[in-house]
Amino acid sequence: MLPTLQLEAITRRFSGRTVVDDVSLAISSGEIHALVGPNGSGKSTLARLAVGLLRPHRGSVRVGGEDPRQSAEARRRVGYLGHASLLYGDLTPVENLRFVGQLYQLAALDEAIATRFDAVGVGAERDTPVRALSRGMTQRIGLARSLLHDPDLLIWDEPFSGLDLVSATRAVDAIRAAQARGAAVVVISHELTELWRLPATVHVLVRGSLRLATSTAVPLEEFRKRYAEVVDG
Amino acid sequence: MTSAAAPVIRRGVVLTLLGLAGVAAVYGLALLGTPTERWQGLAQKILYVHAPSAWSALMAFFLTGVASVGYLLFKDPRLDAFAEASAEVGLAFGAVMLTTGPMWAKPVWGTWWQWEPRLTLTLLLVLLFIGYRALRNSIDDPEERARYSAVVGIMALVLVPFVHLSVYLFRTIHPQPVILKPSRPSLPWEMLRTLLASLGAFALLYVGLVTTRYGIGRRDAGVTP
Amino acid sequence: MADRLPAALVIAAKDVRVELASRTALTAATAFGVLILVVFNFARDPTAVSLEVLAPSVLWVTAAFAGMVTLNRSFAMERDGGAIEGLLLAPIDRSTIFLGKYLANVAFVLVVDAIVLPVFVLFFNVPINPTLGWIALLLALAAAGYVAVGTVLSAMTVRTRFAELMLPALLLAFVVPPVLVGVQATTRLLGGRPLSEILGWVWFLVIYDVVFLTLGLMLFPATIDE
Repeated sequence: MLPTLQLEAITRRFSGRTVVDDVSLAISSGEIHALVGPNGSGKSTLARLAVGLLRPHRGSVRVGGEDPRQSAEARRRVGYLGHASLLYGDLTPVENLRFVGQLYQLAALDEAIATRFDAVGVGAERDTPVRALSRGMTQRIGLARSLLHDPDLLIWDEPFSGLDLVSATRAVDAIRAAQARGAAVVVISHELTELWRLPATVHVLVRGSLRLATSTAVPLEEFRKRYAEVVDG
Repeated sequence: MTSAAAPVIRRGVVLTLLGLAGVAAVYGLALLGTPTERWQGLAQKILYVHAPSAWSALMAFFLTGVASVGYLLFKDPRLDAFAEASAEVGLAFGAVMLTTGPMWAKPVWGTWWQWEPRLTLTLLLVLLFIGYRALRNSIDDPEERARYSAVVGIMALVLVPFVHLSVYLFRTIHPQPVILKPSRPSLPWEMLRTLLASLGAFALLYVGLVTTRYGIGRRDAGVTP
Repeated sequence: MADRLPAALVIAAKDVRVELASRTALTAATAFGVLILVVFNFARDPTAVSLEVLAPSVLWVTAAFAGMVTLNRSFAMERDGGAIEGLLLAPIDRSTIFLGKYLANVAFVLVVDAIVLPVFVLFFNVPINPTLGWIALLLALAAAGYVAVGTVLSAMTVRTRFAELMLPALLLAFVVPPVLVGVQATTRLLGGRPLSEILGWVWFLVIYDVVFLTLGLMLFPATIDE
């Protein structure tokens, strides 16, 4: 069974500086992986490489066996939340998701949109233009957008940013639901408390390289110690 | 600090100086060794600088277009450096053409400017490549800059036949008033010889300038040429 | 290319929806167009230059400039929320994105032309007869061509600091052939010449359109892939 996501010796440079250095990772269906690390360690770049937004200078990315930069089908399997909202400010949340649904040729679109919005907690705001909504609400809409087509691979970069406690719990529930559905999930976050609510493999990225692999089964306090060692070392 | 680009720049400067010497020599030849054209008089001699600079400009822009195609196909940054160098040299020659043109045209044609296909094409390309330079200057990432420049360079190349054809059609319908003898008469051998010599000097100058500029570009990028 | 059309239309429809919601570009462009016509009307000595002589040039220059102004919003809207990445992540080709954007852009330019032309007829006292239909066709053909170039250019200039200036600066050279040809053909049409005389120019525009649309489809991916 092919891993849902396979990164092999991925390297990426920006203006001469190596941001992602020879990273290899395989993630299979039903697994949750967390990616943590200090600021500027290359986590977001790695996520963008994984979904095909960036071209690796060396190595290969495979989603379900195909390169997302070459294969539209590979891209169809991916749901991504990045730092940008990916939304059109002049359109309402419903209009935004309807556009995505048409692009991905989804059936029963209105129902799917309603379900996702309920899951993440977007209520009456769904008919207000996005530019009038708060950061936390935009974040929730972004989460719903990435879930709309039931992706096999979910990659969320700082999903809890801007979310209140209730919404953060909803996000955690959404990750569990995706996993139960058989998706592979990658979560990048600084919010260790939220991450530790999930059964996940934890990877620590420092200056572009994977330095530590552990899991959320390890008590958080102990992880913090080991993290500090790896980051400072 | 010596860099790997230094010998390239040196070679370029030598070629440029040779080219300039060539142009000076051609000028000596033009003024002293070539008969003066009967109708156009002394002003006609500007042709020996004006025509080759126009052709050199066109050739420079053409080569930029070709290098742009090459860059998008092979992604070799040297092709981008060459495209940039050739475009700048093209602009320099274009500037020479645009200044010498009116100097020649006024005494000979009676007007400062003529909207004939070659001139118009070169003018449009000069304006386009000024924009090309402005675009390059406003993008920091070298790879993005190279990609965007290549796109503009290729579109410029494809534009050439359309401009030429449309201006040509325009002129066949609106023949420009003939004041003095403007059409290209068959040149006597002495003049043709000088013109060809000038073309050769300009070609040398082109190679020299592009080599120099290419070397400087590579040195500034901090890579081997 | 036919299989790309449905997705392209989805993108084009979205562009139209966003424009209707924000209503920035179209109103500005049409107002701009009408104002240029007003300026042209006063920027001449009525005794020295007759309306008929100047009219074709005025129409085409106005249509071209007002049309160019609408092009920037196409990628500006994608830049704002980072929405362009949403398009890049979708299971569609890069060329499909180009096609969708191109179709929306052409539609907007045609809307602007559809307002500029009647106002032009009004201000410049042009007789209303079937030649106007042909002139409209010429405007549309020209738009189909330079909008292809403009779509590619705007994808790049949107990332520069002076996008509003950079785009026309680069695009104008590409606008010259269609406008030149358009003015010639329009002069003939308004002068009552038979249609057969302008056929050559129509072909010129068609070829220009086909060439630059194809080129746009091929070059566009280079403007958005990192």
